[in-house]
Amino acid sequence: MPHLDVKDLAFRYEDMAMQFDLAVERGTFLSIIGPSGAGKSTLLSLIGGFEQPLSGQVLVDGVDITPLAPAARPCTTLFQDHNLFAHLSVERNVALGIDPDLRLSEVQRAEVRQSLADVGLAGLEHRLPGQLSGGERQRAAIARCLVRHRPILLLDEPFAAVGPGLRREMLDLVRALQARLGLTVIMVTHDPGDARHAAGRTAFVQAGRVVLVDDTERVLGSQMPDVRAYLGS
Amino acid sequence: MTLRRCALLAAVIATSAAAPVPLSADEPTLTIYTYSSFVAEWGPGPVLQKEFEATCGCKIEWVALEDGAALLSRLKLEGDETQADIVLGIDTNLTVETKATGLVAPHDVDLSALKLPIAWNDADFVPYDYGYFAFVYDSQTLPNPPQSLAELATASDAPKLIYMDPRTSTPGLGLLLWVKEVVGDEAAGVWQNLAKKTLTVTKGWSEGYGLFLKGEAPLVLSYTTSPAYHQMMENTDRYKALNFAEGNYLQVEVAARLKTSDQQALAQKFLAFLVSRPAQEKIPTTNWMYPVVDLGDALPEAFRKLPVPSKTLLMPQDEVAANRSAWIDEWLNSAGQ
Amino acid sequence: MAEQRRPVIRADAIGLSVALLLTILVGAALLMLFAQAGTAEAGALLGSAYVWRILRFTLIQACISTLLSVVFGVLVARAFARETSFPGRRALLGLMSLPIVLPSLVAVFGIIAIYGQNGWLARMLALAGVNAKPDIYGLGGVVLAHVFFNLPLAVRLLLPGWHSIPVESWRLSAQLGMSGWAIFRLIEWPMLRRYLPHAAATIFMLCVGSFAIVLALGGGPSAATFEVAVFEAIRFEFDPPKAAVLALGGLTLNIICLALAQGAIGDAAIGSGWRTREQDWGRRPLPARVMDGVLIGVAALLLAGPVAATVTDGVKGLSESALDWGLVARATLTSIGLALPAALLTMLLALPMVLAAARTGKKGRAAILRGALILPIAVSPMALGLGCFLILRLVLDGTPRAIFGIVLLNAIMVVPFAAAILRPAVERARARHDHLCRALGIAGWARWRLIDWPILRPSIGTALAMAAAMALGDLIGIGLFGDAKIRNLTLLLYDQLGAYRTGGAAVTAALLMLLIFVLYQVIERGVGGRAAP
Repeated sequence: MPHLDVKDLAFRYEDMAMQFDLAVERGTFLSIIGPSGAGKSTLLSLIGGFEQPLSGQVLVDGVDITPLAPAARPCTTLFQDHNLFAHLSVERNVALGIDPDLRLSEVQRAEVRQSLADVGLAGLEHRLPGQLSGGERQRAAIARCLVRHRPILLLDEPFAAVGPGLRREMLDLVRALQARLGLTVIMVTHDPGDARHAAGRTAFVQAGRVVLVDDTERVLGSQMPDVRAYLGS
Repeated sequence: MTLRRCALLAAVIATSAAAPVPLSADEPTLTIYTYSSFVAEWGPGPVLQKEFEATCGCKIEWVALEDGAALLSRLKLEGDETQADIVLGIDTNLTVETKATGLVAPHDVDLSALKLPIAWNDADFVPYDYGYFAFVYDSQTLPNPPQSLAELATASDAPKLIYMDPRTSTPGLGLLLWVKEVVGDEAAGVWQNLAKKTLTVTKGWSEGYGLFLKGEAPLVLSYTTSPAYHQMMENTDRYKALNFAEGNYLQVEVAARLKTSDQQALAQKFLAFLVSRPAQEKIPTTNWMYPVVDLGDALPEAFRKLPVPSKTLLMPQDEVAANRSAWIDEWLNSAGQ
Repeated sequence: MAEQRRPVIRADAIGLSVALLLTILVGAALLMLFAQAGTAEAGALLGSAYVWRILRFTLIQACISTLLSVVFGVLVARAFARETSFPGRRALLGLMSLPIVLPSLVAVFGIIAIYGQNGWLARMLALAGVNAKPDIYGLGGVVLAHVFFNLPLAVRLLLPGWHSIPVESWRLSAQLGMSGWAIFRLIEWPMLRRYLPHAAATIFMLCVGSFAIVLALGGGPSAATFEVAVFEAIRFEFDPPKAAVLALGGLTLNIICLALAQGAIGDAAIGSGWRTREQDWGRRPLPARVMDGVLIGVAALLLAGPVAATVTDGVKGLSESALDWGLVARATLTSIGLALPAALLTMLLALPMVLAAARTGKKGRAAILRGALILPIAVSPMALGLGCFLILRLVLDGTPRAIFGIVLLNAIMVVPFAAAILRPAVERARARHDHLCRALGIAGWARWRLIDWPILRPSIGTALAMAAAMALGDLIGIGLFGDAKIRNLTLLLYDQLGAYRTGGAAVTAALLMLLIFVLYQVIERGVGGRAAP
């Protein structure tokens, strides 16, 4: 049974009718690529629970999570920006992942600190987001995703604003965390290079549909005209 | 689009600017400062203007200010440079201050034919209408109104009343002087009692009377001539004025010629016209006050039928000027809840 | 490189010049008052018990009014932000623009028609057999009227705040399972800390300068504000210097208030953007939605009541009295003819200043510009008006002076509101396009025509509409510059009230309100284009 199964998920965004079908095995790092406006971020929103489909289901381990609110779903989303609250310290931002009322036990606080260390931000607990670089902010956001202990990690173009060298570092970090914790990661990206670097599997989305799902190299080397047009080779 | 809008804008401004018609060089202009409601369409201004311009070979130009006090205020501000030839609309409470500006010229008009409740001896100011302050009540909601100031002040279940601020309104000031004239040193007590029954104290007569007609309170400070309007124009006897046992306070409205005017002869002619019968005939139904000459049967019936107060109260103007501030302070301290 | 910088500097220079001009004008106005004959013993005034009593009442009513307006404003704005589509939402938000532009007298009579001794509420209570009558003559009435004016203003000032919150914040709150209290604490309160101080300060200053409302509903001499004292000093005591001293007192009070609010002020302002973006509210619990509905309903009733009463009284007045329609038409044209130039002048004053304030990096200049933009609310309108009259008297006479004076005074007094509407749009435009324009070398007239105007157009439409609407109800200007030939609708209303013609006055009041509403909508849509709300 696939870990995450998107079945006939129908949605309408302005003029575009979308219908998504996607199955992801546990522990996979899947990247989603495709032209702008194809519906990549919408697919992620639907999985995360921020949009409601017109019909269809999202199943995790066979359980239908479609009627569940975002907080109740076994996934956690990282956005491109605005992941942190500007007036809270890094530590408190991460702590929100454990308790939104920020009432943490000593054990939980230690967990927060450990998670920050895992992403390489040890010592920066008391800084405000405004005092960090873009890359450091996204790391802090990743740290929060970790403390939530959800098996599925959804990334919506999280490193688009980060330079290429740093981006590789971040992808390596995510991959390492995924390997260690057995997460299923789905990442929307504009850069096929990201897919090649980090993702084992890749899905190509076009005009509201998942047109191709396969191992990354096979997708990137596919001869389908849409894929070729997008990749521009 | 922008161009069209600009054109439309220009057209609107042009139509509504009501630019004054350029005067022919040989017609002198008489500038009269007065209060706004005098020159309203249905006020005395337009009809008097038509009548006077027909015979004088001149043009009247009105400058409309908010009320009598605003008139005086403007005169003081402008001083010798004032463009006014005549100032019209001060009442007897402000004459001393007006005279103190040094701008008023003696009127030189024959006032022997005047018929006022008091003898008029002022050489500077020409009276053009008068009225008695009175509390007007709604006979429908108040069948048994108080018949005297004492009753109004002391009755325990007295109705709510509306009056005007003596600092911002001439009827309000009139009431202040009325109370002072009747009870003298006990005014503070009267104000305290009245305060308990006061619905509100408004800025001017317009707001107060408007509230009264809306039914907010059954009693309002106004004039004995107010019911005449309702009888003549609305055909109703519902609103009546109260003539207190102690008497009612008098208000006389006056006009004066200014020393600085360059139309002295014309101004004097206008003042004389103001107290002439043709002008005075227009006063009752435009200004809703009593005329200062005896019109006999030409006075509308509604006016003739109005009950005249038993006693006319009027304080000497110098006494008013000297004590006004102190009396207002007394009112402030006693009537403030 | 130097080529690129010149247009920016020029824009700054225009804005700064306008700001300095405005400040000098206001200062000169006050100076003219001091120059008149009279007593300006500040010491005596400070010691006067009367002045302290005024200060006390002014502060109490302003504080209570501001508190209520702001608290309910937050709740109602929040309800509107969360209920993104219900029938009548747009109409209701449009109604919210009405109270602040209404002439005080019209609003006061409307309020009395509902809450007065003989109003709808009293009559309903009587029908229900309840023996109590609502007593609004006193502090309660003053506060009620102020909330009527300022609650919609608060909603207008705060609603853009919710629009400024990034969508991700809402998604985060859904993802993290935040309670309502956590959402308020972590998302909404930080935003409010940016928007609330300016809104509260503006409302506070409006309440401090309140005059007609206090005198009509205050109930007695204990109800007096600084503005009332200024009026007395001018009219009753014929003492312009004293009026100037009192005006300075009021100004000091306002400056203190502004300084206090400055601590958390960002660049909050009235937004013309009524449309919310798609927020991820998810499935909201029913009790919360009912609460929102109740809040919106109560706000709607509060506003619609007096408006409906004015209209009904107007219709009744139509049947009761014969109106000279030619007179009404002339008054209407005069009102419009004075309002439109005033509105244009407001834009000519406010726009350069707002543009300069957004562009300049220097704190000193920004402070001057922001100060000039808020100055007309902080200074007593009557003192300002009289001062302007005295200044203009030196150069102009008669009808030209009257027209220019009325237009100028009204234009100045509306500048703060126009600025508050323009500011968020200007800043959004600048943030989005400034770098690009500088990079591409688009500047000057081309920049205005191609970039700034299309983006700012909706806000300019709203600002122009508000300026025109406020100028329509002008009474101070017309009263001061007293040309008998220039009579607008508000003056007609006063004339009718002063001549027993209450039926006609009711019609004029309703007509005035209708004209204000219609002109507002026409200008907002006509100039602002379809993008305008």
